[in-house]
Amino acid sequence: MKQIGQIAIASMGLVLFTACASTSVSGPSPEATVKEITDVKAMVGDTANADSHMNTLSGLLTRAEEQMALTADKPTLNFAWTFAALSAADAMKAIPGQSDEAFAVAATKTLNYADKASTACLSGANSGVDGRQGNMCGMALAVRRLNDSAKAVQAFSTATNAGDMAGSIAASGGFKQQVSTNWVGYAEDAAQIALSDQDQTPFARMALQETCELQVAQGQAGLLRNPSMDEDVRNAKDAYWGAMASAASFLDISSSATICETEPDSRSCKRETEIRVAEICMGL
Amino acid sequence: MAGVTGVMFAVKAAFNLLETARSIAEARASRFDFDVVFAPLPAGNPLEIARLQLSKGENWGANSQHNHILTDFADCIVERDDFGRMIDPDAPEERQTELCMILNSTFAAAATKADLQQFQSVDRLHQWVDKDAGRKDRAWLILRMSGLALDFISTHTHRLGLRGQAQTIVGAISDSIAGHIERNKSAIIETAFTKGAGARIAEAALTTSLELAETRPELFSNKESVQALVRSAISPFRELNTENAVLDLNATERLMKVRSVLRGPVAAGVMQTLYDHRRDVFDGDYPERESAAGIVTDALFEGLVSETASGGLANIFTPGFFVRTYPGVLRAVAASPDAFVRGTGQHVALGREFLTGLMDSLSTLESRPQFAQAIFTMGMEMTRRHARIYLVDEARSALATELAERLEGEDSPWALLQIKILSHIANGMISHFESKGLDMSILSRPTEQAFILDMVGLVAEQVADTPGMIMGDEVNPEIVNIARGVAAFIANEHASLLSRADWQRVSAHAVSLAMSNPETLFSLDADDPEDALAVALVQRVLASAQSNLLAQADGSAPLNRTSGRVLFGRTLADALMATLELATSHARQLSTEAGQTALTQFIEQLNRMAEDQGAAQLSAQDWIYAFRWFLSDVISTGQATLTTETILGAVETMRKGRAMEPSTSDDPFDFDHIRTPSGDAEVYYQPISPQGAEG
Repeated sequence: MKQIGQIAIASMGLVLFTACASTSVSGPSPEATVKEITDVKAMVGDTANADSHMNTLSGLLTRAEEQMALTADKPTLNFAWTFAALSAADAMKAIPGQSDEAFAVAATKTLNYADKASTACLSGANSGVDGRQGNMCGMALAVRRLNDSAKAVQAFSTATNAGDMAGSIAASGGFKQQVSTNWVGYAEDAAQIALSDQDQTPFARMALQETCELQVAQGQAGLLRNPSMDEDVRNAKDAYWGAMASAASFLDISSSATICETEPDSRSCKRETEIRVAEICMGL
Repeated sequence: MAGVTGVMFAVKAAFNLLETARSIAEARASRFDFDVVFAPLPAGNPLEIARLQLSKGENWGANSQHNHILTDFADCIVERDDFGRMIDPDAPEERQTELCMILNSTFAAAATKADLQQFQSVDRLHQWVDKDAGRKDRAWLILRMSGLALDFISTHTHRLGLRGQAQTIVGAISDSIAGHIERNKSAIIETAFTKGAGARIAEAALTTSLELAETRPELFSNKESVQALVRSAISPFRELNTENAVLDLNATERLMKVRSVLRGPVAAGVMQTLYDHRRDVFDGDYPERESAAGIVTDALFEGLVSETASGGLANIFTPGFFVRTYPGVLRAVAASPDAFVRGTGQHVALGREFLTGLMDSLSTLESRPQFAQAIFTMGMEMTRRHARIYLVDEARSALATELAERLEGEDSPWALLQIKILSHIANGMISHFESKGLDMSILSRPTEQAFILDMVGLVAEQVADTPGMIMGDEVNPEIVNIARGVAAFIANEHASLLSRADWQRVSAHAVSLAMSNPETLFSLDADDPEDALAVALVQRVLASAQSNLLAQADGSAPLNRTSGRVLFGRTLADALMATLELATSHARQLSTEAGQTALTQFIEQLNRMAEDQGAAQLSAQDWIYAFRWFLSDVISTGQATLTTETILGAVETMRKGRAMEPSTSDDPFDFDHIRTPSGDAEVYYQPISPQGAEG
């Protein structure tokens, strides 16, 4: 009977402890939050509800940020919430029609959280990142490496639509620069945290998405449909084609046009390559 | 004093294990799979498609059959050398549009599957496969349990009969090892398989005291049990040190040695020794050999030991599951020991069998872990309440006899069958939801889970009260059929006409009727649960109710707040229950289209009357009263041809009768008189308590 008494008291202890434990870990999980974020992200093409999507994502971002603060002493859980925060901010960037200011806020937050998460991943075992959180590490590194490309696309869209060809050229140049530095740098990150063996992160697909965003922005601005032969327009087209050619090379996309066999660096080949990329984007 | 110490240890053990479980749970919450989602790109811009196709060289080669387009639209195409060919924005707009349309229709997007293949590799990212991950969780638990065992030794040295200096020494040893494990558990887990781990562990563990403890255990105690315990705890570390000292082990070999120490001797040895000498070690605090708690604690203990030794623990239970399970089992055992143990007086080695049996019973919910724990808890709770009634209440002698035979026979313990039944009920219901295309992500919501579990419990309570349903070693297929039928009620497109509480009432009544009328309402012959009579009738009544509420809806008021619309909510629930009740005696008629049509027509007639007459003449209460009163006649004759006067006359008579009867309830619906087909005496309808009997 004494044992029964022990068990009874132990059970009370269990109940109390469970209550305490469940209080501290109750509420939405990082997984559920990320699921909510991706659900919204899949719908951002519905421009009629852009404000609603923005509000939802903003709320989810706030939730993730609050949980980050609450889990500061639990590195593994904190990392998962950081990942949720960067996912929310990254999704906010994808909402079409937002102001440059709103985009800049989302992009800055994305970079901050992607930096925080990436740093933890790259710091090794002492960072508290669980060995099985590699999927999040891969995505965080990829988002960080692509964030500035997204900013370049936004700048390109704003400038070209406004007829600011100098701004358009600068943005295209910025995008091209990102391809040659940040995009290539992802492979180094991946190697550093042994992602090379286990990486499932679809970095190429993510990079293609950014490339397609640039292509779509060009189409909406009508840069290549402009028959003007003014120098600034021609330079803007060349800069855009240069950016696309660079991205296509990274993505291993090439045109089968004859000109690309004979003169791969020519404007005509770059034009054909851009057409090839555009066709692939339309197939997504 | 000893009791207090025992209690303290038990509480501490519980806290430590829960802390471990919580840490593991947190780690698991931090790792998850997730979908890779890309923001959708806008649909192809037709102007861009035209631009692409005009500029694309291969479209306009010398042999292209499309070259006529360039000729036909020469007036609105401009050539810009290597900048490409484009539509002239100064050309007439209609010509631009025409060219644009022709280019779009002539040249489909040329991206192929192969083009896209390399970019469509991943839809969902899975957490990394980490071969060491499961080991780490298990190692964590084993370390924790070893620590507990050593902690026990340390705090119970006086009770172990240790003498003089030996008591101090063994206390210090066990305290040291437990402390070392506690302080370094993360490092041990992380580095257990890395270079130098053996040396680090050996350094911490191997002292002169270890040698002493292993070779001269009699110095510590004259009790064989304590000597064995000390030996089993200490020996592995000493052996490890000895081997490391004489062998030039490479890193891999050292890893193997450390692994063998951590997974084998330290964990299994301590656990085995504690188990072998449990009655001596736990002294007077261990449950009595023949007591229920003793038998089952033995069983679980033995199961844990054998699984720890074989390394198979993780294949059966997660650590958290076991930690949560044990108190629940013990509570149920304390109330109903015979539900767990075959026969009486038999000392059991059922631990492993019980654990594996439990897993087998829950196997149907393997893919729905969120329900497994709840189902298990529910099963234990039901066992606690019902088994006592079955086994003690002599008035239920028939059932008690059958159950006694089961307990004496070779069948599984009844507690396992209870869980198996619950598991099959839950699976039957959820499977039906899946087959109806219900978004299963809804099931992740706690409120939905709670509702489904409520319904599972509701069916199970009725099943438990019906001896024929729980005999035998397998789950009666009728139970699953009934569960699927109840799920079909709730999955109906018009189910929202009833509240959850009403659905519970209707379902409880349907299941109760089904229990006493085998295969009438939920025939086993029905391939689809929706073919069952009960489900078909519920669908008919719901459809009529929905039709009534939608008729003449002008959107100015909620559907169910329009004057004369009464068939929803509680009235509808009562109508459903009355229909199901009548179906038990009129199954033949109600199985036919004619019978169901008569039912529908009668409902529609009452609805029309309610609208025409208004609440003053036919209130919701009158509606259900008339429905109950005339339903058997309508179904028996297959004719819904009662005149308005007949119905209103009956209602009036009933109102007068009610006015003369002393009211025993404030509930206006508490008058459920049903006239039987032959006009016999009234049958009083008694709602079934969903809670069942309390043991």
